Amino acid sequence: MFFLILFLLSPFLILFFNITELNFSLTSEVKHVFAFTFEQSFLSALISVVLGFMGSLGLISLQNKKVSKAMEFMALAPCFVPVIFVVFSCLNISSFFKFSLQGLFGIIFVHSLINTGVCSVLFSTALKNKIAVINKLFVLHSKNSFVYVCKFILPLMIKDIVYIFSSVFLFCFTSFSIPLVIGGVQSTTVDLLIYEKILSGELSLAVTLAFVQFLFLALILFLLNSFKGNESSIEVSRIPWPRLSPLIVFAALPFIILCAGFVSPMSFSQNTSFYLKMSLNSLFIALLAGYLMFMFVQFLLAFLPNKFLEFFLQHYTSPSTALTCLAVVIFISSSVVLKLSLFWVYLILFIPFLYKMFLQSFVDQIRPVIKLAKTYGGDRWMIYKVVIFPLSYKVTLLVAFIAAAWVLGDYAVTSVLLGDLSTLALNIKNSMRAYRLDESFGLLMILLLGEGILFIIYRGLLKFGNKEY
Amino acid sequence: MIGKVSLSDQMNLIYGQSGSGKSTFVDVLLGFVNAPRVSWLVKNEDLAQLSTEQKKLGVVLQHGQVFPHLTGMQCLEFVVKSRKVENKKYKDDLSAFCEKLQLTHDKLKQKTATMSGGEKQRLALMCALIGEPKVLILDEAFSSLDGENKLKAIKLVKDFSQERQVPTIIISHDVSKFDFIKNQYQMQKGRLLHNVGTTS
Repeated sequence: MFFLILFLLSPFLILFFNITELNFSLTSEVKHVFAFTFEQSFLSALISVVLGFMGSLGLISLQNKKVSKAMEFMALAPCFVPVIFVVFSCLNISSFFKFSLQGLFGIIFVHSLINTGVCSVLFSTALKNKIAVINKLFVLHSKNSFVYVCKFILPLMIKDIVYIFSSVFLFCFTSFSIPLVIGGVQSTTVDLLIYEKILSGELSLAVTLAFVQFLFLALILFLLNSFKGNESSIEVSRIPWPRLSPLIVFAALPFIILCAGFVSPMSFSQNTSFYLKMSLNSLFIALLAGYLMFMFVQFLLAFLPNKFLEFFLQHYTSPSTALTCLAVVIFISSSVVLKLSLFWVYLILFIPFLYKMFLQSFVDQIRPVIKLAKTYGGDRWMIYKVVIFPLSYKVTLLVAFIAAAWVLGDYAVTSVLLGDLSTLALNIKNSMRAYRLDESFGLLMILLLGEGILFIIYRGLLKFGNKEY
Repeated sequence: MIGKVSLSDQMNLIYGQSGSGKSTFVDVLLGFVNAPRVSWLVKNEDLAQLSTEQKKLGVVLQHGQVFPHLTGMQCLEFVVKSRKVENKKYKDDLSAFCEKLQLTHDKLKQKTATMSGGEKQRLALMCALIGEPKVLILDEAFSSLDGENKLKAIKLVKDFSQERQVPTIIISHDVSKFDFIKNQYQMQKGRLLHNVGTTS
């Protein structure tokens, strides 16, 4: 367990031991980058939270359970598909409507598109817990929807609003892959600057930037954990104002934009063998990352339930992409090992989020079963083999599949650690940056095919698991 | 919370209203609640110093919990393998318990998820008995059983406890079927009162 925590904290520890090389000469460039990053994160979070909150009112007003589930799926989709698809879609739409997506506007647009839906779902979950109280107050005091929202819903949601705002702000502040494609010269974020300093070999400045970024993020994290909304056991019911249901458009719009931007002519500029080699390489990396994620999650679950480890995982947020890559670059000198460390970075970046999304509730579910196994006298290995592995197979497979799908579409980590154009996503990134959208779309179709292959493998393994366990 | 308590080395009944601390008491005995100053002497051995696995307890947890993904037989095999019970003894006990609890071998081959509440509770009781326990702890172990099955299950526990000299703690909110147990304790706000009124 100690090594598990050490592994997840390794980027911070590596940077901490390199702190002697700090370069505190914060130039005007650095100040500008910090100000810009703050500005784009603040505005992105604000827009996402406002639209997401309105979307959540629509989401919770829906009476039909199936429609509600479908809408939730639509709202969450932009957050779960690899970023590369969202960026392409936005670029394609901007090209069609002839407006520029470069710079502050573009970054905010894409960030809001990704986060609005997930904010809607988070707000609607928080609202469901408080709605019974709100209903009584509503009946007692008001029959006007505006008064209803302002007087009853907003005051009850302050903690949740601050928590969700901080989460989105954190995501946008450490966003790397989006500014990498659509950020211009004047639109560099802190993560992008760290990346540029790594490439130019100015490691001490990169460490300084990462350190300042870490301090800032630690402050936000503190805020996040102190404003986490309390779960309530109040029975869930719908709000008595069906006229709010059209607000669902705010939750579903990002998904519609995402789909609309996926219509484009395609072209291929290279020969088939080039694409085949690149596709196989990408698929191999994604499959290996998925396999390692499966093994890592199983290893993690073998130590759970454990109060300390659970507390750590609940409160820990992964470092930014650039910070993690920087730590790896400092730690590993051999270029071959550096390429292999790709998987180390993926695990560190994905585990905290995936744990909170999928594994935390699973651990709560199996807690009584493990308690039972212990009372029956099962040792650690037997409990793992007979209880934890069969019960966790499906959820671990899902987590591994999501990780593999993200890795297939990743161009952020590979940009730093691979550098060459050996993956599909890296090529797509380059063609998108050069606004060769036809070529990007062609490559995206191959990428989509790769995602399809991953899904077929996932379904096959799931079927195999259903027979076995 | 509880103070010094001397439970009988035969059958003991602990009853009380919900929220009185019965389940917490069970969790302390099982070792799931950290209680460093607690000692629990059974036949001159302090079970509180041992881990949950080493205590060798026969336990039925509330709602007759069993492994949801296994068959009845696999649940029993888990206990038998964990406790390293001899194969012959396992088979003899299995036949005897099946007959007394009216659970067929075919039923035990089914996944527990397809069993009724009463069947799960009888299976949970078999799991508790089959592992040669040092102490039996049965937390609401008969609550889902109907009249006849309840009486049969209680008789099995009574005979098992007497014949094999296994101290037994039955936790229940319903005392009506346990008149034969001399040592009855009431749990009240975390305190254990002997035979209502007298603190032991």
